Amino acid sequence: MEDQDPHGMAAQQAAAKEYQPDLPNYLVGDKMPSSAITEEYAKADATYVEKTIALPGQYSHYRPVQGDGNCGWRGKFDPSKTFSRRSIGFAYFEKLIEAGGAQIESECNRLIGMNSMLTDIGGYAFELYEDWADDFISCLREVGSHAGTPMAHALLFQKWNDGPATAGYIYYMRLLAATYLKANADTYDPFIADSAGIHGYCQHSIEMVNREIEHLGITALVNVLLKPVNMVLEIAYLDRSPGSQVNKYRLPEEANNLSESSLGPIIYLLYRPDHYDILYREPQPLSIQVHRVNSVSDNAGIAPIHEDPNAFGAMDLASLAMIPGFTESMPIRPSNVGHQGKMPQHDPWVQSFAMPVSTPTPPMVAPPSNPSLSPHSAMGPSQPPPPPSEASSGMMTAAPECTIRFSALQYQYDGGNSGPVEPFQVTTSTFKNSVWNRAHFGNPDFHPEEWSPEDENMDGRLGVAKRRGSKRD
Amino acid sequence: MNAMAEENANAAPAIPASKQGNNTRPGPDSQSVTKRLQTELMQLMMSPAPGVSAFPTSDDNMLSWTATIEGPEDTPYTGLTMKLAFEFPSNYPYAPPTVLFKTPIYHPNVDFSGRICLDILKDKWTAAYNTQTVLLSLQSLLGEPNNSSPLNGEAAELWDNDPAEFQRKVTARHKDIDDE
Repeated sequence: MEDQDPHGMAAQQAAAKEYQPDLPNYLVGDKMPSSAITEEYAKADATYVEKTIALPGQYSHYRPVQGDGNCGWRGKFDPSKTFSRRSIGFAYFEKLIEAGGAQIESECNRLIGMNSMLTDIGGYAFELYEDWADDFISCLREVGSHAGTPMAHALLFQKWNDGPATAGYIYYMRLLAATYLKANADTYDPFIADSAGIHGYCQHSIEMVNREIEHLGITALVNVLLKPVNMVLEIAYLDRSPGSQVNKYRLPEEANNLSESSLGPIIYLLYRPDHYDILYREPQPLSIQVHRVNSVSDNAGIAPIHEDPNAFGAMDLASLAMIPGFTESMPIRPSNVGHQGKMPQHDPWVQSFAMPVSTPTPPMVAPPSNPSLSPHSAMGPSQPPPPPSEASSGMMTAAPECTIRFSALQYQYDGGNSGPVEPFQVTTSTFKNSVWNRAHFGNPDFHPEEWSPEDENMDGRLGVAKRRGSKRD
Repeated sequence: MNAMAEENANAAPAIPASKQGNNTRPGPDSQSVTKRLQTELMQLMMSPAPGVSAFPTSDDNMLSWTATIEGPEDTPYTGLTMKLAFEFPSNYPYAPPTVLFKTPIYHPNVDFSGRICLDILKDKWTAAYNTQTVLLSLQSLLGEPNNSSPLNGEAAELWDNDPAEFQRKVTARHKDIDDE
């Protein structure tokens, strides 16, 4: 009976089993500017915003590598949940290609030589791993035969996006790492809490297909795969920890204290909880070099978006100019330096716009008997965006009898009082529901309202005051 | 430890369903599965382990095998031969095979449909296991049941408290089946 119920437990379980998350159709994605990450986090926590803004200055490009946090809760097998190894493996191939064909050939020979170690120390039967080892090495060799041509990278990209094949590459990397840990059991046993020791850890963590890499696994992989070819792994941790930049950590450990120029090829990974992408530093102009050498922790000056003087000019000025008469006082004109060329066209336009608007205004103004409300209540949907609310109330006490609201004089007064930067702070419901509100979907510069702690405090204070008032009543 | 074992017991009846789910994942193609299984078959024939064997059920389907386990000495299963069915998923060896006892068997970790509760066939599976290691694990499970997570509670109880009755039930339930 219960089975018939479409909303029953059985039906939901069936639906959960059928469910496939929407995954990107790549395993290893295209290289792109790392400013894409900054955009992705623009709406996130302030710590993330700050760190991602600094990121493009440190790493110019990144390559997304597929992550999948969805398989764990169902215990469902998923070969793709190995993206950290995928990232390391792909980047390792990439660095070898850059090193050239000779290096690749010697690396192939080194890996073939490790087979006996897999059997003797790892305890894996040759029949078990021979296909994985063969596939990995022949892929490396094939890619290497095109080293020095763009073909090599294209082929690499294609190979590492072939799901069945990469499952094998990655499992081979697991076996290499596990073998390394077993070979150095004395060193690593103390890190394993449970009594099974390093062999148990290999069996229950490294060899498990759907288990994400842990620090020990990364250490082993670096030592067995990267260190012998003089490669260094640098992981940038993008998390909520305090600081204005991502924390960086290098493996092997001794590379942390060395300057970048004294190290071999460096593989950069970006860690976000449960996810590793590949980062790149493209050959940079000299200024970046200087930053690198001086200090790794302070190059925020390279890309501080909000300090760009043109940013405000380009964005706010157009809308400010909508306010008739505003340009006369124009205290922000200096910030418009970058757009000097456009100014001559601006002024006449504003002038001509100001005329028709200011003429029909008087009839719409509320009677002077209610001066404190007049700027707000008269605000129809067709009105231009009003000035800041605090400013306008201050203006009312200064000139309560004025009938023409948007005079140059008022705005001059305004400009002296408060910064011109926030022209849209009026909070009447009429304005809020009009297209002039940027939070209105019809506004050409539509931008949803954002919560900020200051607003909260102000509202809170108002609320308290109101409540107090009503109590007295 | 106990909690994990319980989880296994609960998950057991869902095996056939989860097997279908595996097929929808991007996984190794059937060609590489076939290659891997041929390697395993070769290994089983070249260096057979005592008391276990396995072979594809039919010529045209490499993904379906029939295996046999001989009951280990000094256990209630001594002298009995059990047949099992292996179904390999399309992403084998990155996912475990589905294994069922075809021969009726009375065992704490096997239910009356032949479904098995063994961690390496579930969440402890690794691609480093193969058919032979699974068979050897099952063989040792016959002599050392995991009574903390029984599928057959009565059998677990009798194993601990009444070996004679346990032996009687094993013998009564066992029935040799014909080759299919």
